[in-house]
Amino acid sequence: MYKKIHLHHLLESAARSYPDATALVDAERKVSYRELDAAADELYKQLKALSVGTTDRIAIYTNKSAEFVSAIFATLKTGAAYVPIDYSAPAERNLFIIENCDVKALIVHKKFQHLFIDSYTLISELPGELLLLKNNKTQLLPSPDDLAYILYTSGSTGKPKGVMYTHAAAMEFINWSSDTFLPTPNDCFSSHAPFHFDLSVFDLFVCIKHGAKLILINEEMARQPMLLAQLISEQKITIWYSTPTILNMLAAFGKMQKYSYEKLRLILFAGEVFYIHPFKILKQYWPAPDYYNLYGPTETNVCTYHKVADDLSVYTSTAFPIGKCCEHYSGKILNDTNDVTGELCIGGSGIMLGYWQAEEKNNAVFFKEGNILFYKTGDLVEKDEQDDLIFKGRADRMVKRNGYRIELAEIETLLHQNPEIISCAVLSSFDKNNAATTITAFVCCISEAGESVIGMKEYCMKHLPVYMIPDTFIFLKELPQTASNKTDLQQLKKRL
Amino acid sequence: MEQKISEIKNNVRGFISQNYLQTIKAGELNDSTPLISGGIIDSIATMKLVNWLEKNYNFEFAAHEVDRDNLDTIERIANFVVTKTSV
Repeated sequence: MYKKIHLHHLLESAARSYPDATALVDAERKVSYRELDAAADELYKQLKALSVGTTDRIAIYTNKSAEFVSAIFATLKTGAAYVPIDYSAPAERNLFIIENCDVKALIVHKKFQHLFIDSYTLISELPGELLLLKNNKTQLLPSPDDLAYILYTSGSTGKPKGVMYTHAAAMEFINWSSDTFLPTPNDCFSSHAPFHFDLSVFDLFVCIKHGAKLILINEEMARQPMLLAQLISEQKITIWYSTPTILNMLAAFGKMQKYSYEKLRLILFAGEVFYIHPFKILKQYWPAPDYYNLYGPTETNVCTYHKVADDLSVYTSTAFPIGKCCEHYSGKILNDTNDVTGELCIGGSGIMLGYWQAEEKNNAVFFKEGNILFYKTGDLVEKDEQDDLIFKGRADRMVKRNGYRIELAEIETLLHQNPEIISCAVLSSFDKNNAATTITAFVCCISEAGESVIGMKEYCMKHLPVYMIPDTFIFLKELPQTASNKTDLQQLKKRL
Repeated sequence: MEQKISEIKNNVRGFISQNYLQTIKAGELNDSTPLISGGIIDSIATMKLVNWLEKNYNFEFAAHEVDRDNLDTIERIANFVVTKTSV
């Protein structure tokens, strides 16, 4: 029997095969595979000395850098699961996540040290980060077997929820990616998505599996199209993966004509719908690469894909189809009687293990058919004549912005905690021409003094990630109600 | 010069209020209100502002100049525009 491959084995194997090849390039420096593996080993020893092991979780809360990557691999080497924290999100939300997943230790940027003084002990100073150990007052919850990482996404109850992934499930996706996109050690991958976002699983592990080069794009640069266009050209990136929002920003504001992009061979996009009209603008600048539309919630990672046809006139709809099920998955459409539209369910061993500490929620999203476990995505789909899946919207109140999931209820819960606000309702609208989701908050305040757009935005900025902040605040004396005394969302919708 | 700066400030204030703060009360957006760090303009809005500034004042941003140091308040924007256009 051969040994089961874990995610950190990918780095160890690349470090043996390509020790001197560049593994990472960040804003500061280049790191070879030998150096990256050695840095991860160094930190691994420190974690082992704290008896970190397979039942534990380690949160990593720092900026996107080579240090973040070595912390991920050090954690995986101990058998513990890594929990990447959104460096740019408000501290309060991050503290909830760190508390919720009950970490044993924390690798944190020095600028956040003050947040952890009471309940953590400083173990050592790393180059830019600190290693902190949780003061052990109670028994920590044990991780399930083989857990590799937990990624937190917006939750409809008002708090983020943790999606658990095992090494085995992650490897299914990584191997599928290898078979589909055929990367080589000569490739240069972008790492645009932050590590708490599931797109990063492709960037990190597929790149490292093949001994290719990974260009880490930090938080400031990630949303600045002029710098991105320059970077793609200068670093000779060959494989780019991001949300359509970022590709649209590049095409619209990147001053793309200033540079050349001969090496670019593959563009992958995921996280939200890409409309064909803005895509055409992008393709004018980048005519040569192959383009793929990848689809999948964090709970399945990529589960369907569609290769964009060279001739765009074959598309009669306004958006690309999400395509066919990945080879390692099987798909099912759950629908009522004669309806062609139904909820997409994805089955196979590549899906998440479940939500961290959320038994009830897990029971609601999984079902078994034969030996196959299926996940109910909540996304409505139907099939076109080519048997390709078409995305038709959501069954619930989740919306997406730049690929991030936003539960409108999470924003409402937060607004209700503002003492100025008596009641509120948050709605979204979608503008197809600009491919933009707009979030509008209807708010009733105690007094007129509270009715300040800037004040509301500042309040949200303190408590929510930027992508969740409503674009518009409309102040009302009272919210319209339905006959059954619920907020009349239909009535409010007319005002968007 | 003073007159030019205050004219730029008012134009920028008008652009931001009209596009991103439709329900704002008069006088709420002042020269030092944090725009990016205060959640008023996101990255797409920032790029639209950059485009608008380039067209209106006839200069070009270098890639590294699109940042909070130059764009986070109306005050900073006006100063930056003056520096870029007075050479």
